[in-house]
Amino acid sequence: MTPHPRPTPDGAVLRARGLVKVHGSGRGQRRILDRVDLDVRPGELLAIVGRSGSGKSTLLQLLGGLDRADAGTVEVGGRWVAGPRDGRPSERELSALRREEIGFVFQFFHLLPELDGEANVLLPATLPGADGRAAAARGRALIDQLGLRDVAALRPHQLSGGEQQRFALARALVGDPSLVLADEPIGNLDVAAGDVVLDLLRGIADGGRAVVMVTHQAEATARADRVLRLEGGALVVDRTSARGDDGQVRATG
Amino acid sequence: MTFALRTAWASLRGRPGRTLLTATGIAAAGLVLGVALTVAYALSTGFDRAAQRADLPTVVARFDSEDLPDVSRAVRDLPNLAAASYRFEQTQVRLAAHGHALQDGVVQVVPEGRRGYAIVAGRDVGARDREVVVERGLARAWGLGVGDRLRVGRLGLLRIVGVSVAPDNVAFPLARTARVTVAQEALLRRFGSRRGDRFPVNMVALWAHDESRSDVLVSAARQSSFGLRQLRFLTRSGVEALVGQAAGIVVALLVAFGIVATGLAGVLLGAGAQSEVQRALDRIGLQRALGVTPGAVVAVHAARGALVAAPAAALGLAVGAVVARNPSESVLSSLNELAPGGPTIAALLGAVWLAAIGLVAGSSAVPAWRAGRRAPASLLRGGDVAAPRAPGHRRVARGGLAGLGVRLVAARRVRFAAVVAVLGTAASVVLLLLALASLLQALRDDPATLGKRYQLTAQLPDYAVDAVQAIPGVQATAPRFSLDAVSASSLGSPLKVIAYPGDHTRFEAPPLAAGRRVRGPGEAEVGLGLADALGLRPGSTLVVQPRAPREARFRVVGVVRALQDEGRVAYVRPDRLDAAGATLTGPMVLRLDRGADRARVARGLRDLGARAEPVRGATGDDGAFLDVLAGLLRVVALTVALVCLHALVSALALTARERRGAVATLRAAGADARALRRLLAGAAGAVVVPALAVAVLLEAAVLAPLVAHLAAGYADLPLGASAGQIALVGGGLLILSWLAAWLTGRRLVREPVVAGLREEP
Repeated sequence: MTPHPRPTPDGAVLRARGLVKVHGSGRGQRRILDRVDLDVRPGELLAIVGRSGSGKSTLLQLLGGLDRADAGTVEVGGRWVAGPRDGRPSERELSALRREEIGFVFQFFHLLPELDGEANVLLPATLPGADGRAAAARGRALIDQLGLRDVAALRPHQLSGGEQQRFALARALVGDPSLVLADEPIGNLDVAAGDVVLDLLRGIADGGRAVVMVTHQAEATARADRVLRLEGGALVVDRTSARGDDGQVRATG
Repeated sequence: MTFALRTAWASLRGRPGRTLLTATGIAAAGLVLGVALTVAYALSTGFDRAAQRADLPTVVARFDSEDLPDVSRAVRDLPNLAAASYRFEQTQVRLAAHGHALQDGVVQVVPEGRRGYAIVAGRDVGARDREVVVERGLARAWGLGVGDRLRVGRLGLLRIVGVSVAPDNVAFPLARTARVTVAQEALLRRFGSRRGDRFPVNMVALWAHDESRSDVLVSAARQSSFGLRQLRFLTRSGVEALVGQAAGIVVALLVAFGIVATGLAGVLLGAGAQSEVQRALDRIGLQRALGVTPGAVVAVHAARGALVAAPAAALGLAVGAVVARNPSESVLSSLNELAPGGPTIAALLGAVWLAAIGLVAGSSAVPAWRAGRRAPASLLRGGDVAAPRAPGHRRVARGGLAGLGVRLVAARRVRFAAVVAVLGTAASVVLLLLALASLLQALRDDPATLGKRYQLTAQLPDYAVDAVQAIPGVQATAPRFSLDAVSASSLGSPLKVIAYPGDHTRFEAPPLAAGRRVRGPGEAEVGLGLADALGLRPGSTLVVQPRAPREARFRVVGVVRALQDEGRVAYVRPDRLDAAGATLTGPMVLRLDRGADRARVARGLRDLGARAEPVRGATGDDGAFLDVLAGLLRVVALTVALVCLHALVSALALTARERRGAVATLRAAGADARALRRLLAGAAGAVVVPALAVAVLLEAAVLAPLVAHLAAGYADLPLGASAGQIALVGGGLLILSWLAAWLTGRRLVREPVVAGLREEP
């Protein structure tokens, strides 16, 4: 895996400022995110924790351009995901950004049941605007690297949860993104399979990409460089630099 | 019931967009139904309606002019006779008005009593002088109305007081003659005749007491008609057949199309209702989990279907009826027939409206009943109305986004089959329309359609055969004798007798359906139409009464699929007709060598003092009537195309809605509107390609034979679609696919990606 960090001028791959997201209207209105600021640097694995319904997944979706923020800006690799009023990207630009800069990993894998494992991985290579040949080569290499070659011809329902998530990881990396967004990546896996996936995410970050992971699990936060907690719509530092310079994980706190 | 209605209403209000889409589908089907029913009902009943309103006589006898007392003596004691009207008709009268003029006018002088025509505007002629009633065809063609003046031969300028319709012939200008009516009493008074003076009589209209026993009246009339010269009888059924000669094939085809289109609309309504239940499976699962009984689930969905269908079907039916009204009235007008009244159409459409609501409610209830019987858990997990089959274990083929679209749409096999069936049926109807249009063109222009092998005719005497044969480029030539006759065994049944000296198949060879060809005098080949009408088959005896002193008898040796005159033809040698005293006239027909120089042949004929006439098809050169029919076909084709588009958009929207997760996953991976269009185009293509195959098979194996049979059992109509027409329909479907993909894709990209990610792919 070749890292392609394209940081903003101040070194962050991802930068969010003043993000606001409101659900509902009138008296039922809830401010899920309230002026959230966030920077993530290349090679960093950031874990975001919080109670159910605190807005973790919403934040991740805003960062990836899957949903529109009510206010605030998001930049990935120097390109607007959510810009100021005059810099708001079109749907076409957002699609290109997701194709080129961002990889998504979901809790429920979101593999298409009609396609076998390899076809799911290579799906982004078939999109208009993608460098299909290079992406396909990269996808096949990823299948080999992640140890999926033997099961590449099987369909999702024939795969274990861990295998499905590894295929999903490979799919997220096919476009050679600078940022990987993972929403509860081990929420649907047993401990052993979850460990494999977490090791892979750690490896992705160590390879130079920025990884933002929303999680509940302690074993996931243990591998993160930084852990932020979402409380009352705002991000607070939960723990930083869990890993020492020697790369070993220290006690959380 | 209250629960069902309340829940159904809440469900519809909760998803206004979906409800609108469903309603659009039902309205589209209603549109097809409205058009088809209006056309089919109006055309199939036009003659009977006009005949009833006009009080059309049971039989009309025409003969050379006689004094009234002589005719009256022969008529008054006829059995089953309710009334008789003694009339005088003058042909070849010049009519002129509004800058138009016509030499072939017919003036009908009618006494008081039963009329035999309906007044559709103004009033009938009365005792006052200088009044005339004109036939509707003439009024429409020349833009005449009540109060206008018409110059009628030597009668001079007459004031038009009414417009009439009598379905005893096609209308002007489809018929070359136009009829006007004047009152006998007014004319007598004008010319200063004494009281009791009468016009001579050359036509008697007879009305029977019991229409079902009209044959008794006709038979007795024929027996008591001794002394009348050039007597021709025309019965009411004979009139219907005569009118049918002009447009019977086409009208019957359109009626048949209406029946087919009605079936199509039924398929559409049923498939649409099934799709609605498919969309609601998760809600059904939830209701069942909360304790709602399967019966209540069925009631909710039946009510839901009925609530959507009621306004949508009403709208579609009404618009369809309005759209089809003018073109069908034009056709009826050309045939001197009457359109049904507004209340009749409203009652018919009302009945169909109720049936449509019942069909939609029933089509919703059946799958809801099947779903309601399944375990709630399986419905909550997401499923099909029919249990899905396990995915295969074969390796998945590649195909990019379009290939993925194919797999997405084909995943729901039952619905996929339903959509293919709907689209295939609709496309097959379009193919049928195209084939029908080609047939009309061929009937008009191509003599080969009628089995004719000669290309030119010329008015030359028999003895010129050798001289014509000597013209370079002429392969064969012979006189073609053609005369109108009636069957002597079934009085009033008109037929055309065609006689060639020698082998007629050199010049005319309609396909042989049974028996063999004529080999000598006394033998006849009869058309299927005549065989059906008179119950003839090889071995039967055909007795014809030409305008001649004696009958001519022939042994039927073959039955042919002749299109001319609705197949009411007989091919014979001229000997027996000659012996019966018939006057044999007809042009010389010329069969040319392949690639012959027609101009050179025409020059050769001109040297002999004749003009070369190219051979035309069955319907002559009446472009206006064909234009009317073409307009009708266009309206029908447009509604069917709209139905195709709706079926495609519905299929794509439904697939996109059900596979929101997959679409959202793609968008998360960077798929933009272009990529989604490619995906959807693949899905549309997956429906269109098999639908085209279904359409071709359905048209060739079912619709074409069915329509040809319904339209004309007497002829083998070539209604199969050509390769070009199939390509045209295929291309049209692809364009509709692209349009459907564009419309659906545009809608998809407006939705936030995250909305789809909450669902499974």
